[in-house]
Amino acid sequence: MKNDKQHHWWAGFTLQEAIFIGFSASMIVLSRILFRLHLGISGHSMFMTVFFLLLGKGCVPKRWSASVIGIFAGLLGMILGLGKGGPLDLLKLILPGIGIDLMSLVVADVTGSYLLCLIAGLIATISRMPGILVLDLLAGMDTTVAVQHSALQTLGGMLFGSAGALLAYPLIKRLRSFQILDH
Amino acid sequence: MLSPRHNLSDYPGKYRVKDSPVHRLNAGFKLVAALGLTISALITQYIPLIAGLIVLMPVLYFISSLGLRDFWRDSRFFFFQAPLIIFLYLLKYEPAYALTQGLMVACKILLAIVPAMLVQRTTSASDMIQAFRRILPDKAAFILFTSLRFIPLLLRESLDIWHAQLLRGARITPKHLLNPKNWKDFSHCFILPLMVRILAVTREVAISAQIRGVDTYNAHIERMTSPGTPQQETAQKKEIM
Repeated sequence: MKNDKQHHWWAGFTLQEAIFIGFSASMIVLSRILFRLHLGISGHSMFMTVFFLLLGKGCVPKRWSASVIGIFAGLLGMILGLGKGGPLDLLKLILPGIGIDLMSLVVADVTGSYLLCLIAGLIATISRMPGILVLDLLAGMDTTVAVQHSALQTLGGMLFGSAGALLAYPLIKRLRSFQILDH
Repeated sequence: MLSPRHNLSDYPGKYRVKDSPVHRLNAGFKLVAALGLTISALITQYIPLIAGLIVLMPVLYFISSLGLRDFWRDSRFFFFQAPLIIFLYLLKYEPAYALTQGLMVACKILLAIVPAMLVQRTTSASDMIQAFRRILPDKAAFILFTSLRFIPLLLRESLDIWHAQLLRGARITPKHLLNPKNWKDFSHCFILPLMVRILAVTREVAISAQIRGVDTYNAHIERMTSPGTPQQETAQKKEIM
């Protein structure tokens, strides 16, 4: 969204961008309710999370936009009683956003190609690993077992997260080519 | 027609409208208490305390007038987690140690998560909003509550687009989505029009907020508080007069 003429309203975002960030967070929460696929595979929620984080980042390509989407999605999830773990669930949404934003410090446009989206998706999913690892270690799990457990938990997420990332790129490309984001 | 609406009826941690002592507690207090229970479950190595907390959880569900079904829904992940953790322990340790240690860790993870689920089950969205309003900055709170307020609209728009595209033959039912070949349909037939609609709603909401002075008020505050050149200050004074 190009809103260079407007002043920054909050945290470097214009009012319109901030509202869009809030709506992107709402979509992550809504998708978690609507698309419960009951696959029994760990990490399938990462499909929609990465998808909307990258869509949000593509539409608002500013510093820390993905992290802010993650924070709002976590808070909305807590308010609506979604997810397993309340405050612990916040981490699961904030960390992928931080991962995408850290990548954007190195690469200017993280949603610029299929490859970049794939890498961003993988980074976002791997970013969840420290959260799971810390919880396991706090619970007194053996370090080796904790690393294996968090890696296993992340593995499924990597598969779904990269699929969500690959699906986000053509959409962002289309939105840009139709100049829908320019207003 | 297979609708995604069925998923809204029940899910782990969903708020239950009941009148219980736990429901009547302050949301902030409940969040702090849940955090305390989570931390104590995670850091303790004292087995009687872990056993006590395991007994306490269903009792708290009972006091909260929540049924066994709710407790089962919130805690059943344990039965997926525990075998996995025990299996990982078995790869490194002897069976007896692996079983006891794995089970204890799985119980501690369960005890770390269930208190938060109980808070979600017993706290309405409005009570949770009140708790967040005290800790969030004004503008962040505005965005959070605007998003919350527009969730029903976004849901309605999503379902309208969903049903319209289903009638046109798009393969986007939950059953279809199990096949990755149909994900392209999902993206182009459902998400793309939905994103266009969300961007349009965003613009409308932003304009509406600007008209109500949300944007201009802050611009005015910024102008008044930021130091400017003498010419700018004179221009501002004229503008105010």
